Amino acid sequence: MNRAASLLLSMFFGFLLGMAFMNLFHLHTLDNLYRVQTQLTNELLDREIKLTRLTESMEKQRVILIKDIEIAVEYEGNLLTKDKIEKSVQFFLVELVGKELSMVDGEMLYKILDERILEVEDKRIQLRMKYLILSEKISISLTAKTLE
Amino acid sequence: MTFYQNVLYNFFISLGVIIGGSIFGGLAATLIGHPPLKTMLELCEKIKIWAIIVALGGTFPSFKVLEIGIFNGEFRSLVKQVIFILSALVGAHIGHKLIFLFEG
Repeated sequence: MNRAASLLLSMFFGFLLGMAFMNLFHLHTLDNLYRVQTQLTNELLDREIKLTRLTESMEKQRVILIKDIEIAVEYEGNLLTKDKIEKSVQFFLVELVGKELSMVDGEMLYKILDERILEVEDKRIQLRMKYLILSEKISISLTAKTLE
Repeated sequence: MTFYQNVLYNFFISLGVIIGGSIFGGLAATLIGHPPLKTMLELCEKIKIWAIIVALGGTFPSFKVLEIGIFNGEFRSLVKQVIFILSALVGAHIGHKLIFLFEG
C-alpha cells in the first residue's frame, strides 16, 4: 500500500473516530433534545385534540345570548317623565340580559308590557306595544299615554 | 495458540463487539435522527449474546469441541471450552456495563 492510500485510510478512520467521539461527547444533550421534542410533539397533539373537541362542542352548542335591551318610548309630555317610563320598563326587562335567546318568550314579553299601567310621578300611564324584536339586542318600541 | 491466549482473545473480541457495535450504532442513530444514547443501550442489550457467539466462532468451532467433549469423554477440552465461553461472556458483560456507564 502506498503512502497516499495509507494517509487517506488514516484520514477516513480519523474521521470515523472523530464522529464517534463527538457523538459520545454529546450523547446526553442529543437524547435530552429528542426527549423535549417528543414531549412537545405530544403536548401539541394533545392541545390539537382538545381544540378540535372544543370547537366541535362550541359548534354543536352554539347559543345566542341577549347582550342588550333597547327601549324606545313615544310619549307626548315631559321628557323627564318619558325617561322614567323607560327606566321602569328597563327595570322589568333587565333580568333578560345574559340569558339565552331561546329561553325568552316573546309572547310573554308582549303580554307583560302591552296595556300595562305604570304609576310614574303620581300619574297612571298606559303602555302600548308597537313592536318587539328579539335578537342579541332586544328592541322594544312602546307608546305611553297618561290615563285621565 | 495457547489456552491463555485464546481466553484473552475471546474476552477482547466480545468486549470489542459490544463497545464498537454500540458506539457506531449510536453514531448511525445520530445520523438518521434517532436518540443516540437510547439506541446505544438498546443495541447493547440486543448484541450481547451475538458478541459471545462471534468471539467463540472467531477462535475455533466450539460447538464441535463441546460435542466431542460430551460424547467422546474428552472432558479436558470440554472444561477448556466452558472457560472460553465464560471469558467471552465476561467480556460481553463488561462491555455492556461500560456502555451503561454512559447513561450516568
